[in-house]
Amino acid sequence: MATLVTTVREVLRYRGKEGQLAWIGHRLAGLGTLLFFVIHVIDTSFVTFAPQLYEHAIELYRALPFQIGEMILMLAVIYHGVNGLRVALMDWRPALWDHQRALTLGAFALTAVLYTPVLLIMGRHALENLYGIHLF
Amino acid sequence: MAIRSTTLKPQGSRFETLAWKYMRWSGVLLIPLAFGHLAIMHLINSVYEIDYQWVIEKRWALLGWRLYDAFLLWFAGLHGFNGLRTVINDYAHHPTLNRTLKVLLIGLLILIFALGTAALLLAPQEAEEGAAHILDSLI
Repeated sequence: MATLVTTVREVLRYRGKEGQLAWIGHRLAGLGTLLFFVIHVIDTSFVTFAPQLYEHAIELYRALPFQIGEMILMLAVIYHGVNGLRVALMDWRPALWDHQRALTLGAFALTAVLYTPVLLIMGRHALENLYGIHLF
Repeated sequence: MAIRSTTLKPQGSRFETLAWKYMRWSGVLLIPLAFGHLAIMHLINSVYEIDYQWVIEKRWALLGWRLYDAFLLWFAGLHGFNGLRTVINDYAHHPTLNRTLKVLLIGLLILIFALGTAALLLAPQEAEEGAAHILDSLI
């Protein structure tokens, strides 16, 4: 556990720039997605084993706090996928290591580009259904 | 700095090499699988349209969607749990703690795989009228 404390402290202190940021982001996004995955398999199994409980779970997901959670989940999955692809590509073609910084910043940029419309569309769904607001 | 001839794969353990390769190949496969799942569930549809009826009549009425969900369950599950194994190895160095956490990890993995697979296999088969083609079930 001491190593965990060290990691948390050093992530805040050590100025590893974009490489370290990419690594800790990848790890946190992966762990967060895994946590949701486990919960999601359980609630989806209610469709088969307890339909009433499934309706209850869906009702919870429709509420604002869970919608905000889902928007964060989308960012986690998109970032983890884009950055993971960068890692896989660099492992496959080590020559790409020469462009490590550009590729890392590129992964951040691509994440932002993909996430923006996702956020807009999910925001629209939530505003319409929760408050009857039609923005666009 | 040019690194062109270095071997990046983990050396020594056959299992670790296999796990390393699995993370990359399954990661590439999960991009269409997971991104597709999120796009269908949250962009094309939304949680305000999804309910019991929707899942049964529009999704699981078609074998293709049950298979899609099964692949997502297995590939994402193994990818995620192997990732957590790496995290455990990074932070839990005490042999007993390391072992205990991994036993819990494998137990939870088996439970989640069994629950998810059983749910997909045993869900009732009720097709919505007119939804005879996989494309009908998209929207």
